[in-house]
Amino acid sequence: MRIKSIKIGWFRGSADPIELDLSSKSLVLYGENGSGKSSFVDAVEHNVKDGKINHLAHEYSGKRQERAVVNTHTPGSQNGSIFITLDDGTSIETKIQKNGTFTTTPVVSDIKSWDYRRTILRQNEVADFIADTKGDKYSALLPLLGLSHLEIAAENLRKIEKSLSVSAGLDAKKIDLDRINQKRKAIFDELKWEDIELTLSGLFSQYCGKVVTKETVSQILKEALVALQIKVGKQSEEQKRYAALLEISKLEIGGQVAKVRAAAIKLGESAQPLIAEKLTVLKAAIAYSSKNKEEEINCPACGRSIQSTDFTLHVESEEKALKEAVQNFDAYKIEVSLLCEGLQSLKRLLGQAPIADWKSAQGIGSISYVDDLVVETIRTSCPDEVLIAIETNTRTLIESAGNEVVTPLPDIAALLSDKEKLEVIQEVVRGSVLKKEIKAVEDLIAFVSNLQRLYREQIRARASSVIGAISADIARMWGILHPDEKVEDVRLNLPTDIDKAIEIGLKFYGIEQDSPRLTLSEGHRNSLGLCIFLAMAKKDVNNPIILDDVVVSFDRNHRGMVGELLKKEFSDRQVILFTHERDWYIDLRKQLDSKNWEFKTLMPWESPEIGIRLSTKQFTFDDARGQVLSSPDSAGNTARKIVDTSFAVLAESLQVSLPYKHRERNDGRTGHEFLEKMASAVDSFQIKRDGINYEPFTEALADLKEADRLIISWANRASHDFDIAKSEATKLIESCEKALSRFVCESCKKEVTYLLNDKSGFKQCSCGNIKWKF
Amino acid sequence: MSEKSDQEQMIDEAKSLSPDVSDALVAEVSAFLNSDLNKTELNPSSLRQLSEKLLGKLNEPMQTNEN
Repeated sequence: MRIKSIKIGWFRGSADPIELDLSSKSLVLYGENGSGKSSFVDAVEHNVKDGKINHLAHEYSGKRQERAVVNTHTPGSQNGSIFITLDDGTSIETKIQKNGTFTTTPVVSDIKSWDYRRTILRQNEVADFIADTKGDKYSALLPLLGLSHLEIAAENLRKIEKSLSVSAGLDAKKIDLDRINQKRKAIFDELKWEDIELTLSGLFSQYCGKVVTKETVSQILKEALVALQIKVGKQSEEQKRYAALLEISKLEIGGQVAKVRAAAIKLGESAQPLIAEKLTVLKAAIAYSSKNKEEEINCPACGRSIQSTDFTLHVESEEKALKEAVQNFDAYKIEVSLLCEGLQSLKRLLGQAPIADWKSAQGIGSISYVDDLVVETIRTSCPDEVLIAIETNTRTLIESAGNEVVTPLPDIAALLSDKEKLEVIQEVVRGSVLKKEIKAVEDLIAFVSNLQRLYREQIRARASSVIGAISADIARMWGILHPDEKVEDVRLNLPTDIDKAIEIGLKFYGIEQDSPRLTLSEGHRNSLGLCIFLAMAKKDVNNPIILDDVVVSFDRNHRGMVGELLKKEFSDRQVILFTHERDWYIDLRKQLDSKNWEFKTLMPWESPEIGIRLSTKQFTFDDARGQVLSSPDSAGNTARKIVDTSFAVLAESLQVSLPYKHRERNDGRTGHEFLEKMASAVDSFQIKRDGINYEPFTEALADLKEADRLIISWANRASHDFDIAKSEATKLIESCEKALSRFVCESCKKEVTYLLNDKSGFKQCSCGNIKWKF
Repeated sequence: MSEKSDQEQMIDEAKSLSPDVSDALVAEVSAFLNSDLNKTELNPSSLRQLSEKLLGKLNEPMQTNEN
């Protein structure tokens, strides 16, 4: 898809609607700084990014960029407008209110599918890709890789894996199972399940008076426990007293207090609210890290100064530590819960009538403490002073109960031992279910995790192939911009140790480098950034490529090679090139094929009411004209500079030879030298006056002489004495422009650049009306 | 090789690494991967619902007389 025209009105620097007609061709638009070139780029960006213009998105532009998008001096009845026509005949119109709101018609357009990062490159964005994090580089390339759907699937699988663990309460289940296994070991040691089943069958037969037949383990347990409880109920008061005191003596409250303390120590100083807060901060930190491009940054989670490249790893380590803290907190809650269960049992047992005599013999303080204790408050708050009070007050009671049951009453002791066994078997059965549940969840998580890994492997395999192709383009383009330089094998790499990342590698004088930032100068980095952008843009095939002042940091040699690069690699694409480099613009006019390229210039910008204006002239003398009123000296000086460059390029094209000068002095020749030489070449410049025969183009030679005369006198006066009148400056400009325009045919409007194939050595315009041979 | 068969191949391989995962669960995950829900990143609500749906399929009657 190509752009046919861009029309803007009261948008950015424009006033009354101005149309940049591209005729679907490539274009070089020259304009000095502030002339309004970027307003056209902004217009395209506004459409591509659905109303956003990245360089305007700052705190001063307003929520909807309303302070920046519409011309500050837009008349009351007017609004901002953008009208872009494409070569398929479709167009898209945007109307922008003064408050920044806008409407676009039609809502769907091909232009909205263009990817900004592969369509537009601005001066300040040239090295962005190189400065990006590995993750941002990957994100920039992702749409090109065509793997977004796989990336989304892999990311969703990662989220599901985490969510399954949380939703299933996997950590709490594991802690519970661990506790059951401890109880089993305490009662049955290493006894196998088959032997425990035999114990269960024996107890069932003993208390239920029948043998196990078809009952399930649950049924057996239930029946045996009911039968055993009935038997306990039938015991004498003395036996019931013994049973209650034995149960009290076996309470592990002291041990449980110790476990709560240990869990509290493990939990450390962290607390759940703080953890939650830290996790929130971490989420912000991850987003922050993805945007931060500084060398060193302060971690918003812990405050440490850290290398940006290590930041993601650091955040992951913080996240892991916090997850461990959450697990510790869960473990702590379980231990507190078990302590509460023990205390509830103690309160229940102390209320039993058969131990009333024993109870009255205990210290009133401990009994009152347990009686008055509201166990549920411990679940929410369990400070150390409470633990000390529990430990102190229960220890004496449990020890006292233990002393009472030193000599066992055979029947009841056996009953209670059997009851404990049955209760543990009941827990073991529950543990069996729990174990299966845990395994099933873990299997499912492993399945999802493996699936995610396989998706990532496939992404990597496919990405490698596309990245290889882009790397080949980058290397070739780099070779065009930097022939015979010892920076080679420039390429994109997929790191082997992390997913969703891309690095740039190269060889610097034969030594492998992980990043261009280690060795390349700013100019070379920008040059590489341009190659990377163009290699990515090349993959889009159909979109135009818009380059806005991207060669500012390039030296003249490398700038010249950009034209070569565009000629070699993008002859089939529409390239819209904006520049304020006058010399480069003049070079490009000679370098690029006028069949595919148009050249336009903007007039210097004067005021918001006048806005952006296209020059009707082919050359850049409007820059000088714009200075005549305010500074005729500058105008004269600018005109001379234009002549210097334009005639140097023209003379090179027309093979005008001058005596050799020492080294770089050849590059410093003035327009006067070329004008003088060309004006004296009487037979070189010819014109067909009758449409058939050529004769010397005397008027052109006279114009060259006149321009040369004024350059020597007035232009030099403007440069050295600062003493040129406005009228003189105006005449100088017109004279120079006229001399230069003599090399453009009045009929076909083409310059004398086409070399004839008749071995005559003449170069001519497109229609052959004028020709030149030096 | 088509996109779909690539996905099927990955699911088969993941299943071979976790052979105890039921076919019903594999089918559920596969259905999700092909659904509209998987065209964008899951939001917390959809994620919770999907997790609960998958875990719900785990809660089938189990043998309890073995440890």
